[in-house]
Amino acid sequence: MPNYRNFSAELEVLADVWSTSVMSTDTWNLTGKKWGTNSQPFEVANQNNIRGVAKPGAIINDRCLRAAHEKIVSDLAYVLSLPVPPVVLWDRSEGHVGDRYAAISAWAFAKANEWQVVKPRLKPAQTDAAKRIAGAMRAFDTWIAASDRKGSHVLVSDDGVEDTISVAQIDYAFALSWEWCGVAGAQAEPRAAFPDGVGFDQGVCDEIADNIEKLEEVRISEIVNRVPVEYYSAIPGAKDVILSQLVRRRGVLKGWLK
Amino acid sequence: MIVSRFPTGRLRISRVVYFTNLQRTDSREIPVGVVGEVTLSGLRGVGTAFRPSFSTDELALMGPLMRDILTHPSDVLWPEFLEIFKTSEPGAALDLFAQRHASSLSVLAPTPLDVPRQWLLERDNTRLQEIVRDRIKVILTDEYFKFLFPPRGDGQTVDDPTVEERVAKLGA
Repeated sequence: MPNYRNFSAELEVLADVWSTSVMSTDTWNLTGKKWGTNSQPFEVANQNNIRGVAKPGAIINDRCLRAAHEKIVSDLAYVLSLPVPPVVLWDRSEGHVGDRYAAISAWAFAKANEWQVVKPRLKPAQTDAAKRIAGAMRAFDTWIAASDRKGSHVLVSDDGVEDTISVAQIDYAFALSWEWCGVAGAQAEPRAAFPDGVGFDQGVCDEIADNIEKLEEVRISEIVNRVPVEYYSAIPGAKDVILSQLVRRRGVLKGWLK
Repeated sequence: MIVSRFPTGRLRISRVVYFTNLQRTDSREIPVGVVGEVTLSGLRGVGTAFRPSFSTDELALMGPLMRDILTHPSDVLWPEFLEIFKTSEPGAALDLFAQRHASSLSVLAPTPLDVPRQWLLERDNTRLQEIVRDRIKVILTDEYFKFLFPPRGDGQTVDDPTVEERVAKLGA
């Protein structure tokens, strides 16, 4: 399977662990830094000084299953070798004031900039590489009904390399059940290709659609079902809907992507 | 029955920081400056106070692309913030700016500050523009220095910074 994850070996070690586990057993402490974006994410650090971005940072009564979505999407992307950073779930324990059930995303790169910062400065070889990633993610984003893709959700490593590009797609809170359980209206298929503005490689898109189609149901089921029921509590039945839609959409994906 | 409308407004300030290593907390975080937005019933404005430059050590810790941008932060970030301000709904510019910068260069969650009562009670719009412009410069400068102080023990310089503060597009 081609690998579109241009992550460091160290991060892939972390991804190996997080993608096969569900709940974090690390001790996470708040650093005090917060971002003002929709999910009110906040920075945490573990006992080894590893930073993570946790969300949601408050009880947000919009029925978006943020933590579950982030975890499922990250694990599916890992199986498909697509560039979504590792995510682990974090139970902030009984008595926590706020949303107890959170997800922690690892940072993909030591230094990164948002796509809209990078796009005007791309070298030709980087544009070509971005096109391939956009093709791959078009198939994936369509499969999982990603509904909040934008340039600021595409991070590019600021590593000085000019003959290729290392990309991480982040923030998949608004995917899966967000549309499938009727919280938001369904968007048209297929989804837009991101990174945007460079076109996309149809061959790569088809290739990833093939890989998605071949994903075993038991694998998808394992990823969805291992997320504890509490993470689905805002929408009764969401787990079953997510699983059935992921399985069903595998088969119709290629038709949408033509 | 007499109903009086109590004037309200909102003033928020965000710190802008550069994380030299997003993945680890045992790395330097370089203060870049502060950005603010004021929204009153008949007036809105934004302002910034960025560091004019960075030390050689600090620049060496940045990624190549962001190093180019942050060599003169105001030259790039102020026009971007201003463009967002011009095209956004009242009170939304700071949030939109923050959404665009949430990685190595991060605009952190805004802190609400008390809106000076004079701003709420002034009825002369021209006069209001003047007092907001003058006061926001003071507020931004103050917040800027709060962010830079106390000096970290790692060589960060705070001497004689040139604060660049601007208030844009005041008026209804």
